[in-house]
Amino acid sequence: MTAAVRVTDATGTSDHPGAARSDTLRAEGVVLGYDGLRVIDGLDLTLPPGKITAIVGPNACGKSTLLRGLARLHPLDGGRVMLGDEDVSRMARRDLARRVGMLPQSSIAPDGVRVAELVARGRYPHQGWFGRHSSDDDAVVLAALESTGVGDLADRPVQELSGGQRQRVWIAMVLAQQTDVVLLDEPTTFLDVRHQLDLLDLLTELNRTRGTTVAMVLHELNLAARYADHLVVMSAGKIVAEGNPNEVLTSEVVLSAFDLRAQVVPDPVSGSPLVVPVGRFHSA
Amino acid sequence: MANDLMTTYAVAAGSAVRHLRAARRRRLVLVLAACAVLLVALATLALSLGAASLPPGRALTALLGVGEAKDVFIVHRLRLPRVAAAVVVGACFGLAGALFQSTLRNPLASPDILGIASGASLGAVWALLVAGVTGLAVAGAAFAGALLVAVAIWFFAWRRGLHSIRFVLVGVGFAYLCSSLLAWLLSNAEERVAQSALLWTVGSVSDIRGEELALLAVVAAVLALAVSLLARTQGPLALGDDNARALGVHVDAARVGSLLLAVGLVAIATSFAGPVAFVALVAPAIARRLLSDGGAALLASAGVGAVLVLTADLVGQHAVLGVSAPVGIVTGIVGAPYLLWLLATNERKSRA
Amino acid sequence: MLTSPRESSGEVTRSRTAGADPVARRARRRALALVLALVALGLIAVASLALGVRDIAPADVWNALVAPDAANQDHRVVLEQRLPRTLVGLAAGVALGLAGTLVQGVTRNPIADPGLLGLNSGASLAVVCAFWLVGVTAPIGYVWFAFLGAAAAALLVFSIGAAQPVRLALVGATVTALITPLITLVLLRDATAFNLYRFWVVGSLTGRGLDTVATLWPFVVVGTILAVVLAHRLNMLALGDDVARALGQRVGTTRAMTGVAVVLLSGTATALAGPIALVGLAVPHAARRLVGTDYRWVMALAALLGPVMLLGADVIGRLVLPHSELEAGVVAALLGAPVLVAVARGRNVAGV
Repeated sequence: MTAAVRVTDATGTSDHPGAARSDTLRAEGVVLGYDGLRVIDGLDLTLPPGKITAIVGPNACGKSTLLRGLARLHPLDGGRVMLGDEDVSRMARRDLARRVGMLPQSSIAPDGVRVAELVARGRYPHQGWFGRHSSDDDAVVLAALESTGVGDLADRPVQELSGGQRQRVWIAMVLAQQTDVVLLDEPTTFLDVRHQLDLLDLLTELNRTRGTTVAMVLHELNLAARYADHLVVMSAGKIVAEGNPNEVLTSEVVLSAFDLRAQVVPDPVSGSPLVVPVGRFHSA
Repeated sequence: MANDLMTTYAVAAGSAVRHLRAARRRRLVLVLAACAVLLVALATLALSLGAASLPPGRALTALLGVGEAKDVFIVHRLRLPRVAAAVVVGACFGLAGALFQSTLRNPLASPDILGIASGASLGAVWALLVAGVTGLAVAGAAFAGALLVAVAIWFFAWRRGLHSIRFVLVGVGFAYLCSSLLAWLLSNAEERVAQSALLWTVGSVSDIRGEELALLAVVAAVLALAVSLLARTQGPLALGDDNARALGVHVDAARVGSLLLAVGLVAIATSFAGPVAFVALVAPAIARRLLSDGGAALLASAGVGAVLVLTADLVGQHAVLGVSAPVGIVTGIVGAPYLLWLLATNERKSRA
Repeated sequence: MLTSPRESSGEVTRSRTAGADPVARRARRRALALVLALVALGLIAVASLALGVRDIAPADVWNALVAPDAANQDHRVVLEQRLPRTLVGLAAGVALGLAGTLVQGVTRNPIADPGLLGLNSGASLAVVCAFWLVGVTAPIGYVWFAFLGAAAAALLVFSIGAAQPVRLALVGATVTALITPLITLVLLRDATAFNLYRFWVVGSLTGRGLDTVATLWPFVVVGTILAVVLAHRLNMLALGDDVARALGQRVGTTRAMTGVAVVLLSGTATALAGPIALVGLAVPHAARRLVGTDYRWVMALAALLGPVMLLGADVIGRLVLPHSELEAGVVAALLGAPVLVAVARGRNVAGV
C-alpha cells in the first residue's frame, strides 16, 4: 500500500479548522473501577475541542479505563462526563454515538465480513428502524474508505488483511460514524513504525480538515509528543501533568509518571520533546 | 455534514461501495428466491402426494376450490394445513436459531443445545406421563416448559447484564438436566405410554390445523414483525459489546429483546409441533454459508428453515421405507448431512 | 558506563522475593485442592461400598474386602453389588473428567464436552442397533458396540472439523443432529429395543458386573496416560494454533492424539455407565475454577473430581428415595447443573 494517506476533504469547510461545532467532552470528578477496585478516583479532564489529545502513562495507570468512561463504555461510580452542557449518562445512546465515536482496543471482526460492510456498520446510529442504507450512507462509507486509504480493499474479507490495513478499516468504521469527537484506545498497537506514522498523520489530517476532536491513548511517548496538541500524562489513576507537550514532557514528569530516568531533548524533525530513556547500563 | 458528503459523492456513480452492497443484496434475493421456488415446488408435491395421489394440476385447481369435492376436501382439509404448518414451524425455528446464534455470538447456540427444546419436551412428557392429560393441555405444558427453562437460564445467567458465555453455559447445563429428567421419566413409565411420549419428543406437523394453525401463524407473524424491528442491531452486536455500545446500541436491551423474541418463536412452534429437532441449529448455519457476508442472515434462515421442514415432512411421509415418520426424525437426517458437506467443503476451500 | 552491579542485582532479588509469595500461595492452593479431592474420593468410595438400602458399617466393608465370608449377607452385598458399581463409577468418572477436559482444551469452546462432539450419540446409536439388529442385551456384549459407535462418531467429527477448532464443536453438534433422529427412528419401530434403551440411556452404575470393568480398564489407563502427556501440549494450544506452532508443537498431532484419548476415555465411560450427562462438562470447569488454567493441574484435579461427582451421584441416588433408587445419571445431571451455573456466574468465565 502506498504511504501517502489522503484525507478527502469531503466537507468543503477546511478553511476554518477546529470549527466551533465540536462540543467539548469533559470528565468532572469521575470515579471508575472494576468490581469494587477503584482505578480512578475523582479525575477532571477536558478534551480541548478541535484539538488532538494524547493520553500517556505506564501500564495499568487507568488511561484505557478513563477513555472507556468518557465514551460511556464503562459505568461511572461517581462524577459525570459532560458533552457541551449535556450529561452524557442522560443522553440517548444513539445521540451520543452520533457525536462521540470510540474505537476500543483489539476489536475482532466477525467471520467473513467484508471491508465495506464493516465500515457500513458505523452508520448504525444514523439509520432508521429498519437499518436501511441510503445513498447518503453509501457516500459516507466510501468517503471513510477513501480517506483511510482502503478504498480498493472494499470487497476483501477483513480477516485476510494485514494488521495495518485492518486497523485502518476499523478507523474507517469510526469515521463513517461521522462524529465530532473520536476516541481511540491504542490505535497504533501492532503497527510498524511506518504504519504508526501513517495512522497519526491520517488522524491529524482529519483533525485539521474537519475539525474533529481526537483523543487517544498512546504508548509511544515521542509520537504522542509530536502529534498531540494537548498531552495528558497519567500515573496510578491520576493526571500527573497536562498541557502543551513542550511544557509537559520533562524529565521530571517522565520520572514521576513512569519511574524512568530519561533525558528530554528537542526532536530534530519536529522540535517537539524527544524522550531518551537512560536504562540500567548507561548513565545520563 | 451528510448532505455535504452526498453532494460530493452521490455523483460518484457505480461506486465500489454501492456495487458491493448491490451484489450482496442480489445474493440475498437469489437465496430467498431459491427458497421460494423450492417451497412452491415442494408444496405442490406435498399437495399431490398421499394415499389418494392427485396429479399436480388437479391438486392446484383443488387448491383454488375448483374441481371434485373430494379433491378439494383432501387438499384443503388434509394436505394444505400440513404444508402451511411445516412452513410456519420451519420459519419459526430457523429465525429463532439465527437470533440465538447472532445474539450470543456462538454458532452452537440453538434451542436444541440451550435446553429450551428439551424443556418443552420435558413439559409435554411430564403432562402425558405424570399429569395424565392429552390434547391442547400437552401443547400448553410444552410451552410452559420452554418458557420456564428460558426464564431459569435467564435468572441464573444474569449478572450485571447478560453475557453470552454465561447464557450459553447455563443453557447447556439446563439442556442436559432436562434430557436427563426426560430419560428418567421415560424409563419409569409404563411401556406403551412411554412409547407415545417418545413420539411426542420427536416433533411432527401432521396434526396442526384449523384454529391451532391460525393461532400459530398469527403469533409467529407478530413475533417476526418484532424481530424485523430489532434486526438492525445484529450487525453492530456482532462487532462485540464495546463496539456496539460505541455505535449507540443498548447492548443489554438489544440482547434481551432478541433472546425474548427467539424464545417466544421457539416456544410457540414447539408447543404445536413439538421440538422439531435441530432446525434451529442447522438452518441458520446453512443460510449464513449461502450468504457468506458475515451477517446474521435472519430472513434467509427463516427461508431455509421452512424449506428444511417441508422437505423433511415430505421425505418422512413418503420416502422412508414406506412407513410415515414424523418430521422431527427427518429434519436431522436431511439437514445435517448438507451442513456437514458445507462444513467439509468450506474447510477445504479455506485450507487451499 | 555501567551502573553498579550490586544495585541492579539487589533490584532483581527484591522483585523475586516479592513475586515468590503469590506463586507459593497458588502452589499451596493447588496442592490443597488435590489433597482435598483425593480425600473426598476416598470417603465417597467408602460410602459407596457402605451405604444403600442396607447400610453396612465401614469395619464390615473392610472385612468383606480383605476376608470375604460367602455366608455373610453383608459381605455378599458389598462384593457382588457395591464393589462392581463403585469400580464402574471410578473408571467411568475418571474417564469422563479427563475426556471433558481434553475436549474443552482442544476445541477451546467452554460448552464442548464428549456429548456435544457426537460421541455419546454415536455410542447410543450403536447400542440401539445392538439391541435391535443383533439382539444383544448383556452389558458385556453391548459395551463393544458403544465403544465402536463412539469411535466412529469421533472419526467422522474429527475428520471433518479437526483442522479448525472453532468448527469442531459445530461439526460435533451437527453429527449429533444427524444421529439422534436415527436412534429415535429405530426406537419407534422396535419396542423391545426401546425398552432396553430407555433404561440404558438414563445412565446408571448398576447391572454392570466386574467383567465389564475387567475388560475395559486398560482403555482408561491408556487414555489417562495420553491425557497426562497431552496436558502440557494443551497449555500451548490454549494460546492459539500459531503460538503453539511457534513453540515447536505439531498442532495436528496434538489434535489427533486428543481425539484418540477422548474416544478411549469417553467410549469406555459410555460403555460402562451409559451416556452420563454433565460430568464431562461440569468437572473441567469446576477444576479450572479451583486450580487455574494450567492444564496439568486441571487434568489431575478433573481425574479426581470426575469419580467424586459420579460416585457421589450414585450414593445420593441410593439414599433419596425410600424404596427405590434414582439412577446416577439423573443425580449427576441434578448435581452438575448447579455446578455449571456457579461456574458460569464466576468472574472469569471465559477462561478456557
